[in-house]
Amino acid sequence: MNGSQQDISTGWERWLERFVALDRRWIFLVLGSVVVLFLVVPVSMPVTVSEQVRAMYETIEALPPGARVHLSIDYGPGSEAELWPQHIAILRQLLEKDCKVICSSLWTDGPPMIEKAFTVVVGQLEREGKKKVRGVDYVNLGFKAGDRVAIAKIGSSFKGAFPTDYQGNPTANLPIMQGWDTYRDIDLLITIAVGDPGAVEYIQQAQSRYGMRMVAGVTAVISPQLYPYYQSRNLLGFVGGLAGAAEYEKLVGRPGYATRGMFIQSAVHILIVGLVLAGNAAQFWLWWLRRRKGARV
Amino acid sequence: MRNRVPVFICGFVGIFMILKYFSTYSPFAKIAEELEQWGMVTLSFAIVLGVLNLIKINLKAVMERKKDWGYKLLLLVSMFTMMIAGGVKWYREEMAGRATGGLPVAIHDSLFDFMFDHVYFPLSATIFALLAFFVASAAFRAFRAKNVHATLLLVAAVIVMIGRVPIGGAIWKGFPWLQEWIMTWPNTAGQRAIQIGAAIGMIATGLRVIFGVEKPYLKG
Amino acid sequence: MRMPLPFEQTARTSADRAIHRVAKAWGIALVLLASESGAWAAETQRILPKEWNYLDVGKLPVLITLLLFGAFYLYLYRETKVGRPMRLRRLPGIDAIEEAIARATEMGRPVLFIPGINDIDDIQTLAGINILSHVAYIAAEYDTPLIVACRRSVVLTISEEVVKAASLAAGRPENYIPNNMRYLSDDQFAFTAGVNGIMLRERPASCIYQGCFYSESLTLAETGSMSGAIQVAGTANVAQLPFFVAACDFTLIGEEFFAASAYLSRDPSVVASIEAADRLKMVYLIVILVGVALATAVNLFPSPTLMTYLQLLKEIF
Repeated sequence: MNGSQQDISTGWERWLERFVALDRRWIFLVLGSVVVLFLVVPVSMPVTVSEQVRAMYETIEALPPGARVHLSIDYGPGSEAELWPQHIAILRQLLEKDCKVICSSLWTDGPPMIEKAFTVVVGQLEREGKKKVRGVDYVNLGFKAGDRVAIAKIGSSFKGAFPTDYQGNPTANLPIMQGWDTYRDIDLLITIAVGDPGAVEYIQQAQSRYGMRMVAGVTAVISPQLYPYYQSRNLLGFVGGLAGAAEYEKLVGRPGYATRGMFIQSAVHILIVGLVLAGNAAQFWLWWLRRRKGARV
Repeated sequence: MRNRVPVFICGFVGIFMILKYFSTYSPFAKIAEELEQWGMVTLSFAIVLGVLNLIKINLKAVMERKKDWGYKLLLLVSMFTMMIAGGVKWYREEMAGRATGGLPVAIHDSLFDFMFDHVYFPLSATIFALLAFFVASAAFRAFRAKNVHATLLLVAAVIVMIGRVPIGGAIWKGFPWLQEWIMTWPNTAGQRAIQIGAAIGMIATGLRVIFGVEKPYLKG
Repeated sequence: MRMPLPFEQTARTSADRAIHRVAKAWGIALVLLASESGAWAAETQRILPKEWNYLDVGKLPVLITLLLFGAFYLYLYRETKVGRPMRLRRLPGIDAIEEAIARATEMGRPVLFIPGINDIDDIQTLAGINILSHVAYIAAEYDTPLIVACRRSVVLTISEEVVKAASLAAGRPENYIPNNMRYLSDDQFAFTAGVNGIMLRERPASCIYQGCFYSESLTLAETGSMSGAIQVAGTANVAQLPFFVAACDFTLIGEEFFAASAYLSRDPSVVASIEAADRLKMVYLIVILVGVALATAVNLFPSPTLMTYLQLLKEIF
């Protein structure tokens, strides 16, 4: 009896040991399958809006028509999956409110993202009968090299930092650029950023220097870093990752890619939590079996 | 002498940068901006050194048919293809610019743009997307309740992971609030503490380098 | 209605007058706004003497930090020179670096070192290169090959020099292998893919990440863990710390990372700067505590004097 009991516990032990040291490729396989499954079978989820996302939405909503907004797109295609939904939602809100949107990027691969977003949003608005003109309502100033130094340069003179826009037109001749040139003339600074240079650099080099209103959209990894700046009111609000974008889509009343992605993200989070808890349970069970065995011996 | 000149240059440039930062006196700003431009130009030229290193190491491996030489050949072919395509794009823009009387012209339908959009974009996104898989495997391995600290980390991680997504609110209404509380208070306190410590560490290291106490650029 | 009260009118005690003199010396004119409801608000005006015109007053707190650090450093450096013992607490992460190299030696496999992904103008890269110098020295002593992967060409050039010099200093110049000093790509994710390739093909026994890292941190650390390497990371990039902590065996967090070179070199001039940084931190800790206490007191017992003290503290730090 004792012997068979020991066999059973050894059998369990073997299984538990295998699970505790599970080959990560199994995790990748399960994770990939869950994502593919819920991409094919979409399920909708109710979204709860967090305080900082609401604050960002309200800051933009409070802008008067014709307000000048510098929208710095500081991400490339690598982080498109996470930042594209908030980029589109924010750009559309700005153009719908008749704000003047001045876009630029501190990342070499940012300007194509700006172009892509303009094509999508301006196209949508045009189909709805709202015509937006390049150079009058919006502009893509392109890329500026120099990271932190570039931010300072942009702040002191937009026309100096960008003599031409992305299409090669002299910025001094564009109607949207008439009558202003520095951060002191900007009503709101928005950065949609993935890393360095990004939101923190803009706060340090531009917001704290010129004191203008600023909000940001960042990846989920960066968002914990922004809480101190939100508390100190350097940032009036921020959106973090796909979950933040889904909240923003809810606020602007146009559920899109992020909202659709919420069930997938929820499922993946639950899967990871489940794996973590199962791993802990297995580890504890293994410890208990070994302890019992040790006591018997 | 061999060591003194670089230390002097570093100190001189560093002191100008400090003066520019604290002073409103415009000549300091002008000199510092000029020095910054020099720095940017030097760094841009230095890429040649990197490319030469890449060619030297990989070409040698290909010539000697070393292990995995096929990958190295692919790397060299990709690099030269992109370089040539970029050169052609630049030439076309120059020519188009001259035709318009010197105004800059941007061309977005070149082979370079095609490869940028259809090769570089998806490859970049793929490597970034790997992060999601690695987060899962790292979480499975790292979040084990081995002691009190690890248990606290585990509990916080589980609450934030569940509370951050809509399903958290559907399971229990308190999850999003708890998540927000953890992020707003304990997280912010920790972030601030680390940021203050790191900022002071940066000041100390920066001053050590500027005043030549430490010379990491001079170990040779 | 809000009634502005110049500081002179609110100063009642000798302590108030002393504070007023300090404020005046800094060119700060404090004006309190009193409302009928009894709530207080403070406004600050800068009235600076002419000779201060060249100073950007908005950056005064940073200047004070630098001056305080300089004063602590000079004092401690002099003290260390005259024989004051150096006090540095043990950093398990740094001890682990030597263990990691020893393990690579036992296994007959190389050590991989990455000095972050930023250029040489980032202070974290400089700190990483300082650590590389020590790693290269130990690796040369143990006769273990060291691979250095760089994202920036200037960092590569400096790393080459550093490893060459350290190998020479350790008495094994042959340990510097030019083909092991690798520039991979300036692009973040191409660099990440390149490093992952090195980890999976050349199977380093130890991976040491010291510098500034971004979203590639977990991809690198997990691939390293997958290849079975012992891993030691160090960064001041707060957003990436959780990833390194989860996937690496040891992580140097923030200031520990900057203190590493002092810990490794034991050079009195460098150790003095670490102690100076610690003392500066203590000053800030006290300022924060006093600030919190004052802000709480102002809320609980609204008073012009307390408000003045709080405003002055904000202005100076």
